[in-house]
Amino acid sequence: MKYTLEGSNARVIAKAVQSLSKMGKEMFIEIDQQGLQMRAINATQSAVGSISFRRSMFEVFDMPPHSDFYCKISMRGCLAVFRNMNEVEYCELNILDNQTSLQVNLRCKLETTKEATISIIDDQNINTNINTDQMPNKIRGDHKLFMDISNYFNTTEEELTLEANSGSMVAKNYIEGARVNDKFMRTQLKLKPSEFDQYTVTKETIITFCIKEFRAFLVFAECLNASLTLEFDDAGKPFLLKINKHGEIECLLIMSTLSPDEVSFSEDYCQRDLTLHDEYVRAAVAKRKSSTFGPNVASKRKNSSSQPDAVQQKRRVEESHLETSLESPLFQFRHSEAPSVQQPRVLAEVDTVVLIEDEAEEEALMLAAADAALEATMAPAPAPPNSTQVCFINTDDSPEAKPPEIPSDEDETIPQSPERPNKMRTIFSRCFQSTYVPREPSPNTQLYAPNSDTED
Amino acid sequence: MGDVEASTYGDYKFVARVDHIKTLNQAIKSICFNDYGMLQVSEDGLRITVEQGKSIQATLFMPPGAFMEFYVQDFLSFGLKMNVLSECLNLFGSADCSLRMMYRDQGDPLRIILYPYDNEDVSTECAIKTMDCEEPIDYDKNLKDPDLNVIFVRGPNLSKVFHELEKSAEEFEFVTSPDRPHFKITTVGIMQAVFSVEVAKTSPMMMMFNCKQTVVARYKSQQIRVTNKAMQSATKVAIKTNAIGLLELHLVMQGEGHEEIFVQFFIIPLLQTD
Amino acid sequence: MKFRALMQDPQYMREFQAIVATLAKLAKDCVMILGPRQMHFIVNEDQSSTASPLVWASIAAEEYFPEYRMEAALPEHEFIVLSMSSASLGRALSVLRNVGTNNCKFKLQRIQFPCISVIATVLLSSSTEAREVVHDVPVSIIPASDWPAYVVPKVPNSQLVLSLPTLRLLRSLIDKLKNVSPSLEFQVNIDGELNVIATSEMSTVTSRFQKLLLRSLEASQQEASCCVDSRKASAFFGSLQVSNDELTIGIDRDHSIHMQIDVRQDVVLHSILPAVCV
Repeated sequence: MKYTLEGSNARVIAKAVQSLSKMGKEMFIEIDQQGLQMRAINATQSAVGSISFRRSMFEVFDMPPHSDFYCKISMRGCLAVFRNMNEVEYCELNILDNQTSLQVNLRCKLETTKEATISIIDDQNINTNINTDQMPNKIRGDHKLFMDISNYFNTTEEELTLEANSGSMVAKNYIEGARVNDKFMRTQLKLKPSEFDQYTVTKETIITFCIKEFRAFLVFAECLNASLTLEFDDAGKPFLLKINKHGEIECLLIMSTLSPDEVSFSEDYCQRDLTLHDEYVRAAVAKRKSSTFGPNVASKRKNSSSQPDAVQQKRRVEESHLETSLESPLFQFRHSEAPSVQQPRVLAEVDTVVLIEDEAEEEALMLAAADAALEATMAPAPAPPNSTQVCFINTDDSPEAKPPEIPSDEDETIPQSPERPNKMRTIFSRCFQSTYVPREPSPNTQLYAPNSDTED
Repeated sequence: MGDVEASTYGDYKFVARVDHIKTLNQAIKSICFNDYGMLQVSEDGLRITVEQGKSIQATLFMPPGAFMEFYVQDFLSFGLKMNVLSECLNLFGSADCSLRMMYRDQGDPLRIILYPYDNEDVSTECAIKTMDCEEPIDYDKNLKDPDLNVIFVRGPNLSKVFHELEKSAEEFEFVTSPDRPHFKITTVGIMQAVFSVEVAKTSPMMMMFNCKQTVVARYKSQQIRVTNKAMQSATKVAIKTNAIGLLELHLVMQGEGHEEIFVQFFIIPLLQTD
Repeated sequence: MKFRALMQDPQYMREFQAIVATLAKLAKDCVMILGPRQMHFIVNEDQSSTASPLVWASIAAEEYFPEYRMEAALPEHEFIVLSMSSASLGRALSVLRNVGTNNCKFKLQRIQFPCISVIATVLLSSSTEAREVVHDVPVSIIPASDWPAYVVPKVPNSQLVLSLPTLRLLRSLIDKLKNVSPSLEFQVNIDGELNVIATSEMSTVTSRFQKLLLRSLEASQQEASCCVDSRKASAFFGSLQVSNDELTIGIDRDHSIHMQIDVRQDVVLHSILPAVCV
């Protein structure tokens, strides 16, 4: 299979690689009849980015009909190939016959040819199966505007909070009223809807997401000279960043947002805002009652005893879940004896968990899936769409994908947290979460997790 | 200016003047891969040689014509610390300076005086301790065979090719050949990837291409990268290798007054085990 | 306790930003002393292992701030003394470099903890509209009982004071000399000459600056010299962000070197490099 591009298009692909490289250590490539897609997922699995190039960007697009191809390669290798692109006049991508490696041939000025052969690590793909339309809030603006916004915040900043109201938008590096470290400098930038090309906020909300991945895509938008569209719903629900260039290049960044009940609010914050937030938190929690989470369901079946302190358990579930999501890959591939790349692939067998809008059905599906997974393997259950509705699909035949997102907190269904497999990893795991806000415990917040104790 | 009376120089055996320090500074920086340098002055000019182990050697050569003033008595040779020399030439950073170099005799320091152009009321004098000198290895005679592969390449183009070589490689394999690939470098020892770059003999960056045999040889990537700094300031580079792969890179650097400074690297190939 | 101030002039805003940026390069924390008519910043990490010298800036409030209101905690107090992260303050002020920045307000207020809020109004290039950027720099209020530890340093008495018309060459020289030797000897004489000498095992580097302006001298002093820590000297020169190029250098023989940069009249940056034994 062979795909060729003219130099300037190859440079765009190179920029895409550079942007995706800021997200993850692995690059997932998918080629189908429509074109080529590149994806990356960040280490904390709170963000998935995909950039797709239409077939029309390629001069030769030699794809056998009714077939597709996907693979995982190391980001480092990929980055090394596409690093110095100024001299490139023509780029040729080859999937070598046995599909064990990707060959990139760059024909450069001065009759110089660069060639790279990158081993395909696995025939693995990630897929997001969330509904990317119908978000209540949609904001579109020029890359310069978003670059401006981004530049007001320090490069070491981890998160960005947007307070979107119908009449104004405030970008902050903190959550209003949330406890912050007393060395933490708060920054806020007030924007007017008129600064955006489109500003539709039908559901006033405050969302917090990772700024690093946002910036990675922003840089790509700048390179395309394209505008960005942000689409989002409520806190805790996924946040989308879309870039579309003439329908030929489409980018989608899906990020999880910080759930409001993960934030501890400051006691000495002014009363008005505090009550506002209380309601807000309650509302959000109530909304999430109906959603649930695979591994928790599974564990319920194993241990039916109820716990006296559900709240405490809740946090422990979260921690142990986080631990697994950090330790293990997003998808638990059943590693066969021989590397999967050497085996012929069954391309048609793509397990897709379809997102069902209706909540009852959703739950039923999840329970069924959890049951199936429990019976099939004792490994973690497959990924039902959890509260954030992000779902990653394993293209292998073992549907053991785990939901990467913020776990839900359905109290009744969580009698016991799963066992922590590795205590050392668990203790500080929250610090590694990208949505972690450094904060101090305050008297009015409940201490959810007991003190770390390596003894038990 | 070579024929000035010896008396003008008092008891100095070597006095030299350079109008613009920039190229000399770059040339010296480009061979600072080891701390000890051997300096030799004769009627032919100035030579500074740096070696690392027995596998790489670099020599900076400035003919008398590259100096505005050049005076030497006898043949002088001494050792000095390259970093100290480079630090001295660099004292005023990017500000352009003229330079005067003076040396009396064995055991005396090498004096270097810098005069920055943008302020005539400022000057710096460095006295650099000198040491006894050893004899550099003579690779030159190994590369006198008539059947060498010789390629002349434009410096900036070659510099780019070298610079873009993947840095995580342990070794580089060089191929020079009368047939395709005429000139090819391949990385060795990178996990899960192989990178290569190939330049056709008809490429405009080739000033001369004269290869009679196919030579394949591997070098430590660290030693190839040592040449990068020199390559960056070179206008022309000659690549020469003999049948066993002893590699000579001969670089020409051009100063502001078109004076030429030469830097020559000899790199020993790795033993081919397979 | 109240403090608020307003800046409007773009040139002043840039200068003020440059002063704070200089301090931010030198130390993690800085002390801000707000007096009725003057604002001082002090950085001093002398006690710690870092190489930063003592640097302070004194700013006549009326030069920079058309509005400047300071009310100390108690009527008998003359100052408000605050300590804060110099990097945070520097970052908060970086918006003052923007061409579009129209004005900037400073406010001492309490939001969970005491903060200096830096509120800048930035005009948009595309329209006549403005955007508001707020940075809340956390501060700690230093109680009056601790003030004796935070007094504004006094300029030492120098035997000889010279002024250097341009510090560009000296600056790059000092930066390089710190690699040559851990200490630098500064010699000045009545002929308007400054020598900086660095000595190491392998080399001796003597740099000469001539025809400097003699600013003041104590009677019958021909020359003065002082040896200082080269990393401290380099840290001072390396930190400078102000656009002023003229440097006044005073030597109190074998005690200290005092460096002074007049950003403008009544806006002055000082540093003291203490003598070291060689």
